[in-house]
Amino acid sequence: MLGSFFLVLRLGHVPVIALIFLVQMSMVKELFALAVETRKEKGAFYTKVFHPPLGFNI
Amino acid sequence: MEWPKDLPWFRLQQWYFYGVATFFSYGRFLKAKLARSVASHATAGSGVASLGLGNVGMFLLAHHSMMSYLGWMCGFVLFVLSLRKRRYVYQFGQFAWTHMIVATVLMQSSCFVANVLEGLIWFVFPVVIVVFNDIAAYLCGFFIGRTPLIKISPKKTWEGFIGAFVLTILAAPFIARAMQTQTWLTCPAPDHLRMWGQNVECDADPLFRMTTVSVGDLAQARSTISHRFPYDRVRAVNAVP
Repeated sequence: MLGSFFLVLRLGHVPVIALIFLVQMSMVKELFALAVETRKEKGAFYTKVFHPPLGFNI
Repeated sequence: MEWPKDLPWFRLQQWYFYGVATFFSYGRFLKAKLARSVASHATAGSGVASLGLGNVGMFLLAHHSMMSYLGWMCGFVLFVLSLRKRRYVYQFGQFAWTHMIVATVLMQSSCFVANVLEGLIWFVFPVVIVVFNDIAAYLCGFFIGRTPLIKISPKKTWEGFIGAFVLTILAAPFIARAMQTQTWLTCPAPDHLRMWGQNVECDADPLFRMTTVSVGDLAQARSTISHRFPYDRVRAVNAVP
């Protein structure tokens, strides 16, 4: 893994930016999935903090 | 999940907004490169051609802000069209989540990209420092760790935290010294974008050249700065009611 990272670095600026882009995409993918999953957390403290008077969860 | 499957264009909307945000943030860098490339070439045509973008790419870049705005507006219209009764709260919640995620991830990664374009060292050095700090914290905690640091992560210790802090402060100048001699790390990205695997050559920035500075010079510089800074004017401005 370290070797491949070093190789990408040696290839220049564009491959490093492409690597950052890939990592960023995988992060976004996970977070989108997590955003959908949060619906399962009914009664979680932050839903109550944001909507105390409304009486429903996000 | 049942709900997202019932909602139209649910995933499409998320990735669409991500795409628009990516175009906005990365387009800014390309635009800046384009400006520098055009300025550095004798004729504007050759500068533009060196970027390797097609006509569509050039049009999008030339109208970058407007295209980003229109892109977001189209997404918003798509979102409004996708609204379904009794699911407004969920859909607006997901809309907000999508924007927060995109902002959180893209803001930091666009800063990374800006650093990389100024020279790989500005990306690699912080990464190496963080890796070094983590390893040092593990080793210090393993050998001399006694006092727990935080409940959420019970294996972390104060000894590891402080030891890693001290070791990183001590090691950072040596790591920086080793890296600043490598031109492939210190050179900024060339103005043209076709740079796969090519060796980047540049004149070393004065920042990366070793210079001897005496304590007297530092004191002189400090007094010069204090002389140049218009403290009296600041006081005068403050005095005006």
